[in-house]
Amino acid sequence: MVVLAGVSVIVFALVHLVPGDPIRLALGTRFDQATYDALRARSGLDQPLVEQFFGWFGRALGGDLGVSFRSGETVTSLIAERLPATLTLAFASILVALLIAVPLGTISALRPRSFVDRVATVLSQIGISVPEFWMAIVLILVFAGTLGWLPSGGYVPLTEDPGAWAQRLLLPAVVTGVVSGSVITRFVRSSVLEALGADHVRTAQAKGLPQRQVFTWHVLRNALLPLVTVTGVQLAYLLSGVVVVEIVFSWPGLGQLALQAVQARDYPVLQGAILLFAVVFLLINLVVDLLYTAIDPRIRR
Amino acid sequence: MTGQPVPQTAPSPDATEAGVRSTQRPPRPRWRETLGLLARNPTAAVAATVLLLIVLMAVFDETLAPAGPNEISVEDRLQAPSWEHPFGTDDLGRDILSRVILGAGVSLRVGFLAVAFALVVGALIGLLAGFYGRWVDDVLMRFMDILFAFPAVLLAIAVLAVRGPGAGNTALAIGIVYIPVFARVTRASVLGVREEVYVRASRSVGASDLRLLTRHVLPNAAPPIIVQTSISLAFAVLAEAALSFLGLGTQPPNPSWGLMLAEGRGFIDIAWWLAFFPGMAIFLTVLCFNLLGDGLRDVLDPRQRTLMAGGGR
Amino acid sequence: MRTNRLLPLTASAALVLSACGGGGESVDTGGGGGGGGEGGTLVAAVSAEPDQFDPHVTTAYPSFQVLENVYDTLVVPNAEDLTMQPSLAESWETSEDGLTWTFTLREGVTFHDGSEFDSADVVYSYNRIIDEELSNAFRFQNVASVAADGPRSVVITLTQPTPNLLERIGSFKGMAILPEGAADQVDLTTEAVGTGPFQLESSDASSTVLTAYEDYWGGTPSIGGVEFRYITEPAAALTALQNGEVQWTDNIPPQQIESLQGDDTLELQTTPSVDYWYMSMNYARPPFDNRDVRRAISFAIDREAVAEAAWFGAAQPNQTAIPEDSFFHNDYAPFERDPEQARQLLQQAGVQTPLRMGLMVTDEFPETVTAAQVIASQLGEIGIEVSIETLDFATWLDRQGQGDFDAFMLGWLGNLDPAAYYQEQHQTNGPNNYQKYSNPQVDQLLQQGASETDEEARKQAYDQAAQLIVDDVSYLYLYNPDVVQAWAPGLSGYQIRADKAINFETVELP
Repeated sequence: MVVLAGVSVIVFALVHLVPGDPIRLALGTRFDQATYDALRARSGLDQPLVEQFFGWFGRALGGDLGVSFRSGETVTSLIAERLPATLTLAFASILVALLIAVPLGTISALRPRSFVDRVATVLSQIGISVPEFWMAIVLILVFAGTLGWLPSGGYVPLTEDPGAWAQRLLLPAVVTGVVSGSVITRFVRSSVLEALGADHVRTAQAKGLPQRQVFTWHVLRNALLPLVTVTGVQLAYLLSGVVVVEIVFSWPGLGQLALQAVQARDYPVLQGAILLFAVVFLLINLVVDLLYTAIDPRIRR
Repeated sequence: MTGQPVPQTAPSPDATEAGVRSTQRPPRPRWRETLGLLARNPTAAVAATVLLLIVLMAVFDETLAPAGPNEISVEDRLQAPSWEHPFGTDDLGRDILSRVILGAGVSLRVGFLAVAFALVVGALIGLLAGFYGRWVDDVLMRFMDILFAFPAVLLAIAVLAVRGPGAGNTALAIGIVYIPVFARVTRASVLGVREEVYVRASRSVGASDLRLLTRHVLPNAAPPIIVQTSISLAFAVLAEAALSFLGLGTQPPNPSWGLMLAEGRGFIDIAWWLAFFPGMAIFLTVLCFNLLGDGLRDVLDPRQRTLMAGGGR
Repeated sequence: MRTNRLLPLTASAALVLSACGGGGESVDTGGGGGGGGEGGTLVAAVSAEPDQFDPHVTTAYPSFQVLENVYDTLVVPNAEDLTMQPSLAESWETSEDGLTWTFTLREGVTFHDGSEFDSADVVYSYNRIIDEELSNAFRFQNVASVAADGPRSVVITLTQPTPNLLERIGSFKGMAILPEGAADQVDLTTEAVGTGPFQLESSDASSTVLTAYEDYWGGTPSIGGVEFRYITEPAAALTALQNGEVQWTDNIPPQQIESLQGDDTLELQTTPSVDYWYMSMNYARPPFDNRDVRRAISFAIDREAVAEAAWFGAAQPNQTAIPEDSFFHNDYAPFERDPEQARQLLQQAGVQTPLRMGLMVTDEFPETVTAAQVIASQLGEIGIEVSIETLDFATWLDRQGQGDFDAFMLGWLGNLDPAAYYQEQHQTNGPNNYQKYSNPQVDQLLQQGASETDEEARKQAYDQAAQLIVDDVSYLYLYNPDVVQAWAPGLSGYQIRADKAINFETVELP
């Protein structure tokens, strides 16, 4: 709560520090004083800043995030409109990431310093180092342009056409998934390695328990903790909108909404979006903590 | 952009308070030995060499570049790579090789400045929080939590919107985003060192806080911070590219890799070289910083107290 | 479409800002929207999302791309030469003194909600714009009153003769006619009740969908509907057109025009637009108050190269504002590129080189960023060091408004009448005269042009004004770009227009 309030204050201050006047912008290049004054009074921007803040914060607590300067729609409906696209991409990316990271990280931890391990390490380093917008452009060029197998971008709701939904989701999910997956791979590798060397695993091995049992019961369970943490972090990041990938793939997500709001100085939308991101961030932290307790018996006790 | 640093959201076994608690005073990092170890790690050695070359390229950019960065010649636009223009020319007829070389300075300068800023501010906060604990810790780290709860991209974009675009402000924006990472790493590392026997011993003989901090705590807490610095440099270069890609970072006509990539994007299907070479330059630089960071981690921080890699980076 | 107003805000295909996603329904993916005829939907790829749908409030081009097909105005620009022709008004008369205009309205027109169109709707719509000081209120500057004279007739009374009244009320859908009381009955930002060929069905973050209005007064459109899909990336829009996902787009990168000419997967057309792009210097900031300095800069710039760099041949260099195809075009080009003379003029003005000059551009319109780099390199040759400042549009407008600039570059889009081209930009203290130009002779000529009812005399006044403006370098005019659009082969009945209005009323799918 303290964090949320802090975030709100900073957001509000930052947003109003930004030079540029949303009302002026709404008029375009043509300026007309009377129209300007009328619009400004309607937007409530002529009120003192502190008053604006408490008014906004009070209403936000009740779930009313205000109305967009630009579109006249409520901020909640604007966010709700984009939430499905963002959720879809975030979860699809995490899925791709885990599909890459868990096998790759485990294999390379089981055979440290082997050829497989080295290849996996290099691959994950490459994945972390590639600028994702560059990868996105190249993939579009190859798969949508040259080969013509996939559409170049856009979003279709699952309920409307599952085939088109999957086609359009594939490329952006792969781009963000590869990046996140590379990060997670490194975590999986190191935590599996660490778990393998842990005392109780050695004890279990010494007791002559079958390898498979040792591995699933002792190693994976212990390695799961850091994996949950890093996955949570990645998810929070993906949910707050991967702006650049969204732009390149014409993906109508929250990142684009927030960027547009910055550009248009659409204060209510920007404040609403950042507040939402902060809430998501804190919620994920909470879930990660809960999962921790569930997985790790030591913490439960 | 990229830039979401990895937060240690929950008590993680390898990274926070649960650091090494040996009763022995650990050997201080010895530089010669470190370098020696590093040299025996071939990947890290190669990465360090390539980075050195890139830095040299940035230093001697004007001498090395065959043409000026902004020599516009609309007639010579969009020429494919050739002997005359090894990387081709862009949409305004500028030599891409020259711009890639001159862009190195821009990208590295922003990267170094950003990390230096984050390092100084973040390490100071982490040091104070870790060393003094209690309310100092609470207040400082709570503030870091708030900063952390912002989506990195938006935070940087907002900072740039307030301060206006440009190289210096880009460095500042990226720096601010990375402060919490350094604060957390430093704090965790300091916590591991604080209760060591030799620190307690110095304290009991009445050493001042300042002396304690500078002579005992900081040097012993340094390794993870050093590793974090190398990794953060990688992300700072990526972040600069991403912000410039969004049009908020380096301003045209200055050559920055991210900006060149953004400009070349519209030409990708008729002139691939516009976006390819700057993209490779970013990739290579970031890769080297990451590999070097890995190597350093193996040598300096075997317990991996560093916050590994970045979240979405 | 819009007269004389920049597509502001999130409009435009700006590199960065960009609206969101493409996609939307894929019902018709794979060509032709169901093979044409009844019920087929045309999918059009546009670069940005409409900000809102209230025609009297929005100033964004993406909104008007949609609204063009939904609303009507009393008169509309003819697709060929942009002269005003009847629409909701069948005919009109002007009184002897030019102060009273009487419009006779079309019969049998209904709104999308089924209600009948009559004079009360016109009075309501115009008074809404005037009374609430909405974005287009300035268009009624000379209007004393708007009154109904029976259900089929509307009388507009003026304070002074206004030869361009038709252009003022008909040039784009910002002057749309709403049903009486609409603003109180529906939420106009998200809904639309027009008289046009299509009705607004739905709109979300990836597309806007229109369906044909069967009782349209001009006859039911031959296609069943239009889906405007937002595809920010030009390359993506092009790919979508080529593989049949969409049937129409205006999001074509200029550098592709040449290679697309021979492409048989699409039909590409260009036509000169009524837009112009220019640079302007701040009269309040020495040495740019010096006419010689401004003229030196004008001599130093190679407009061909600037136009070529920004538009790859799809723009005509022009030293005045009005393009060649217009009746009001003035073939006046006193500035041939001449760096030698430019240097002399600088010397004559007593300016020390290198002279530093900030040039403010915005990534909202990427062509300004490209053009500025060429201009910077050309001015470098005469000893002027240009520092390019790329700002986001909000900051850009702020600084323009405060006069905080040495020079800036921008364009005016969708102009139809010479008054729109010159008046507010160059009249002393004109609302859009940010450069602070003041020439009594120009003021007097512009005044004369505004109320002169004889076309030839009017053209003469504007010609003279334009020459003074060009000579004084109030604006340094650069070029008029082309409109570039492409559609699926076999799509018929679509006409590309110089004012960039996008009308699908008569389109038939292949």
